[in-house]
Amino acid sequence: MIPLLAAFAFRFEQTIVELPKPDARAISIQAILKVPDLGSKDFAKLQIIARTIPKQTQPFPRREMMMITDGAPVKCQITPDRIRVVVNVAPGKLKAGISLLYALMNEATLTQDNLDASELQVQRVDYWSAALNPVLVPRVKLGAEEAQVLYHKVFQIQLATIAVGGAFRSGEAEALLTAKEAPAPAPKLPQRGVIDRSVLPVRTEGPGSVSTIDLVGPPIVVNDVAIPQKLLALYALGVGKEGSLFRIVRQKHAWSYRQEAILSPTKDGWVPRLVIASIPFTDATRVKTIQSELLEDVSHWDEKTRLRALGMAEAVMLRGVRQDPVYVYGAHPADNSLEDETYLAAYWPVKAGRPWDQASLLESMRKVTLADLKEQAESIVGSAIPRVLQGQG
Amino acid sequence: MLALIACFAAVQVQIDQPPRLRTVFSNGASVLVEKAPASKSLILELLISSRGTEESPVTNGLRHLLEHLSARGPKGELDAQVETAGGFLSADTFRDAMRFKLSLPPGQLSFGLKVMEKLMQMPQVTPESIKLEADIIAQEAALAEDPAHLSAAAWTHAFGDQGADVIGNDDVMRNATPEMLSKLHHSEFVGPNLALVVVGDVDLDATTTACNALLSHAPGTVPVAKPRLKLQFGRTSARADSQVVAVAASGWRSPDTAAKVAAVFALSTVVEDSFVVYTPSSGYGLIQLGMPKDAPSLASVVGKENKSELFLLGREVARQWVRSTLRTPSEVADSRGLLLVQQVDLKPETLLENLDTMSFQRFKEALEEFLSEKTITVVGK
Repeated sequence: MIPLLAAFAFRFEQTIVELPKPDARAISIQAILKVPDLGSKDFAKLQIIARTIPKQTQPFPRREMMMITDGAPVKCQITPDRIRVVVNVAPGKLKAGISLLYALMNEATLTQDNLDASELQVQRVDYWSAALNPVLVPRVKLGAEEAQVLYHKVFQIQLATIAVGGAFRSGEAEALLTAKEAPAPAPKLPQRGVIDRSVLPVRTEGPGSVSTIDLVGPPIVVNDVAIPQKLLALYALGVGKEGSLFRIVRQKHAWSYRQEAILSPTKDGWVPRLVIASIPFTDATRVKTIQSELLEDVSHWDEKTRLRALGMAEAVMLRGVRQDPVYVYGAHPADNSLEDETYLAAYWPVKAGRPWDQASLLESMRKVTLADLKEQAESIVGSAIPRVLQGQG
Repeated sequence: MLALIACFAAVQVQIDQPPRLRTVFSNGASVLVEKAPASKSLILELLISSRGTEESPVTNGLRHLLEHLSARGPKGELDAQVETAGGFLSADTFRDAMRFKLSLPPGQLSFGLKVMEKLMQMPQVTPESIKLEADIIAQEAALAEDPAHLSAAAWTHAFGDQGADVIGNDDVMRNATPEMLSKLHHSEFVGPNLALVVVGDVDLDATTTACNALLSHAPGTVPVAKPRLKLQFGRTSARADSQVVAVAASGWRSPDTAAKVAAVFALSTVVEDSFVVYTPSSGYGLIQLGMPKDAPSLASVVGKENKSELFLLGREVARQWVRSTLRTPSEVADSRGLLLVQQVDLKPETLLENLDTMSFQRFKEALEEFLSEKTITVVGK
């Protein structure tokens, strides 16, 4: 996950990030874009388009796409701050993979049938995704023609950061990418009488039978100097089975099986959150009880608490234990795979204005004092705004 | 090498060559050590076969409950110790085995084996701790998503009482007593049911010797297995937004299973938004293709496809899947451990070999089985 080897090259507005790893067993090729500011209906339409893009492209029908990737699914995801398109291929298939990425970005086949099917899929949201991104995407009818216009407007490869990681020689990906011709400029969006500036409505209930409590802490800007303290506080609060959340919410009250402390991306930075999933409950005081018991617990933290939090941070950051609280994708964390490593190498500089430097972040976390740790945890829990989405029976 | 191990056990059979050493001890317990040079982690997995403790309607959930109670350690102290050391302990219950997995920094073998020793002890169980864990398992059950609901329904339909959901029956767990769990522990933790896997930058011989010291205390009682027998095809339903079509597979070793794995992956490439569910088993199991409720019929999808292309694609995706389970020390331990605990000579490569020799005809028959009456279909409601 250390992108020291990452090389940056610039072509127009497009940035190319290479992360060659000769011993890797795959190549991950990704295009990363900023999420544009859109009203709720256009946002819904973008979600539908993102769902439809991986289904088929003009040069590569579904079967050929599968042959290129050996069956690995291509992905198009919208996170709170980024859009990313991902193609993973076997070593030796770099050129074909890049061609497929270009096809997905420029020549996706957005048929009406596929768009209609995607519209239904956009409405299917699991409880965890709904808790982390509690917007209610409106139902919209998206015609194929309008879809093409919005697609070309947003998915402009010349504006994307292209990240390539895995089994290839340094400079090889960049050479192939720079040899590609830039596609034609995007067509203009059709004129509208009224510009869609509607705000996405927020959910008031869960999408299924599971309830979630989300304690949302104060926002963190990308250049916040206290990120090491805040991140370590999240580890102490809710990462691992000896974290405060696990001990209180699960082992003391049996109120949940899944409870996590998360650093969640926003358009401008991050937000710390404590998320708890459970059977629907009627006890109106539960949220207050959790907050007050967490604060009480924090007041008793000692050196052992700090060392356990650091131990967990090292397990996650050095050894890839899958408990990472940093949810770069919105609904799930990166997991140290080649795909995620490639994404982080490109994403972090764009997000934070500097390369991802895990070693120095961990070193800073090691220097956090117990007093600082407690202060940050009290701030996160004490000022958290609760959001409860009750499941439907 | 053999001389060293012989100091600790009367009968040991070395089967594989380094960098992997697999050893079966005199009490039937097995150990697999794999050297992963310069690995950032040391992985230890203790697996306990369900052989002899297969669940029935009156015991359904007791293994899962015991897993929850054991995972905290005899005095509930393990997580704090492990996490402070920069590690993580997790636990799972499958139909064929229970698994405790420990991820540690390199060089912590001795500490890891002490943790494993504690996990092998019967935990202190009280009516209160049973109630608490039953409540937590009820929360766990509530979070289960479509693939789990559909898979559980398919298994129950196919195998009747022997296919009951491993998450367990709430009443059975709530009515469990410390004595029942102690008896189960006694039956489960016998030599032939135990397998320990260590993957990391370790010395094969020394690690095997250390593992033997841990496992040699287990009694050599040979459990009487009750293999899954009943197999019923047909349709059933489950609370879900999706559906699955499942075919029966006769075991990891069988060439027929390899063909069905290739077939299901081939289908997954032509059915949009599909998913595959298969837990490697030495015995009868189910290979499941999940898809949206409103997906077109498999026959209509497959009818449009070139079977030779599907054969090549399905075989390659199946190979990639097996290889993907052997990329990291953690995946190696998961993959090898779950097979080892079921049969000492079962390994991931067996499926790869069967894929290499799979004929087009065999693949075609496997593909056609997914379209035939010999399936279990679970529709979401």
